[in-house]
Amino acid sequence: MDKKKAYAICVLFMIIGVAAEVVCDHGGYEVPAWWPLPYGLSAGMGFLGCWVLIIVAKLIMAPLLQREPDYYNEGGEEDD
Amino acid sequence: MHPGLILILTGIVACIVPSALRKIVLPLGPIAALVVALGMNVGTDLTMPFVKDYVFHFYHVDKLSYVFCMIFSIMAAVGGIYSCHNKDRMEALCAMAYAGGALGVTLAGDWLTFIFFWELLAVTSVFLVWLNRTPDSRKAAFRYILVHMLGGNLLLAGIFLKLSQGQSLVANIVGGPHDAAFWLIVVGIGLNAAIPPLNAWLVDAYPESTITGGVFMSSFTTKVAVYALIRVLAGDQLLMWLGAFMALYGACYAIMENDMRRLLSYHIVSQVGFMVCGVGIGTDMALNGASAHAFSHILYKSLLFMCTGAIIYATGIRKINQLGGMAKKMPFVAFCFFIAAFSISGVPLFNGFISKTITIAAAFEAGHHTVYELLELASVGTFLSITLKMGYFIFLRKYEDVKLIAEVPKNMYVAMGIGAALCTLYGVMPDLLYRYLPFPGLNYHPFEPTHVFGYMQIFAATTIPFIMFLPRMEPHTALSLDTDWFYRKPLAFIIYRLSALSCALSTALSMAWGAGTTKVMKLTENPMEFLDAKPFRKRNRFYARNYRTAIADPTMIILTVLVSIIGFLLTRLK
Repeated sequence: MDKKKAYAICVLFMIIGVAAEVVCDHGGYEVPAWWPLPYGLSAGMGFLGCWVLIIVAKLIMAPLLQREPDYYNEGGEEDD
Repeated sequence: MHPGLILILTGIVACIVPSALRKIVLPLGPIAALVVALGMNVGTDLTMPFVKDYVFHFYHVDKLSYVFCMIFSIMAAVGGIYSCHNKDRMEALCAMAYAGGALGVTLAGDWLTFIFFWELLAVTSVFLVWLNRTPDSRKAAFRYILVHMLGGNLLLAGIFLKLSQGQSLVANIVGGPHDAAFWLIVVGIGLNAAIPPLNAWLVDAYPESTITGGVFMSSFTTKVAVYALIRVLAGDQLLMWLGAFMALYGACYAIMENDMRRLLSYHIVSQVGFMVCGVGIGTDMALNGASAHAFSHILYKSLLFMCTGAIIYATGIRKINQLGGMAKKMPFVAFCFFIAAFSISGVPLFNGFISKTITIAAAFEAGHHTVYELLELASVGTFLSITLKMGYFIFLRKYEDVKLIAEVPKNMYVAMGIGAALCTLYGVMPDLLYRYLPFPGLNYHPFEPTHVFGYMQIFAATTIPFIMFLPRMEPHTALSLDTDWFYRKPLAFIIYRLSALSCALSTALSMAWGAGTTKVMKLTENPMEFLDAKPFRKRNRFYARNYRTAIADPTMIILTVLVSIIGFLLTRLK
């Protein structure tokens, strides 16, 4: 499957999800009046959340925390 | 009969009998324990007197212990089937005794019974790492037992303090004084729950365990700790924030990870975070959510470990970047993996959806909206790193270099099939689980349309950045530093230097002692040296001949003395 088809399927599911949310009421649990839950919030959460996690893990944590696999045994020195 | 004892006896029998019989004993023993566990009557409390007024409550059944006993027994049965081809007697014994220990903790009504089975868990599980018999597993097992000895002793100290205060029954301590006993118990249980920064033992040891041992380990230690947290620390707000942090912490590390079982271990941290958060929120709904999620988590996490174990068994490969195209080579494993992946991600109609969302909804209902958002974000991370990352790179991408070097035993397929069936069954029929949840008044309907469609949006939207970032999503071989760095590098360095210093001191002292002893020996060889006689001082070195006198000297002395005595006697006689 090429990337364009994959994007199309994802967008289609998102549109169905948001449309269904518009059709149905907010459900599952009581929503306080002051708590904003705009339609499509979950989609936004998924998209932005995924970017945030990728950036945090791959661009911030990985350079700081990743080392060579033999880091604890480098130079043949036992670590325990 | 105590179902935990049935499992321990099963382990002992499995250790003794020949391997052909072990294939029968290992599944049948846990099934017998499951039947007994299902037949337990809520409210039963069997006791046995101990010293003074202390009474052991070794079989205390309430709704909370019932639901945990049920899932622990189911897991022991599935694990027994998965591992019954094993030729290692010791592993069979330890796995079953480990499961028995989990049931023992769950049914313990007093602190001493509780700590006895708690320590049994630590002692038996270390062998499941050790028995992998690799240099890395040996080292990891040593670290594992050291960390658990520390945690167990802290818990024991807290328990002794509680006993000294006259509290012998395992009960909620949040309402009591937050004294030393409280904090020792929090740290002791928190270590087993792998709450950061006490989480590193888990991701260090679990990937190094045996293939079958990993399945057991993924199911018991942390979930027993969750049970203990619900029992003892429900409603402690600190746990709510620690749980939310845990959920994200594990998810972020999992995105970086390359080793399949290490990645899954980070997701144990993440998923247990949901449970710890539920315990911290402390409402009936949140505690039901924590219990339900522990139940679901044991099923889908063990299934994930079974699937990765089957891949390691068949290929000998642990690293994601060395795998690919496994859906064609091992289609049944791929099928089971995706069921487990959908379950852990919270896809509707799989069991993670019906349990994880209770805690998330409980956070919202209790007014903890930040926690709600953090848990939703952790769900995104779970879908990203397991369903998308592991699913794509291990099973779906085109990669022909992987060769199957061994045939997976049929019993492993059977166990995976049972696990997949249970994940789906509970996902489709949540009331099968909800009716056993321990706290009253659960009014939760997971299949509300907006709820289901909301999750559909999350998963579709999460997939888009994954595809955009695909070339950089492939993990590479690297080691991610975790909090174990503190005791594997600086602490190890300090201990190494201290031991070097003590060795140097010891050597210097022994050399000084040796030199002194030699000197004393030389001096005592010839006491004359003490006299500092002139003839001897002229000579630099000691030679015995230098100290010999001529024979005439003693002869003359003797004669002189003799003559003197004779002369004296003669004068007297006159």
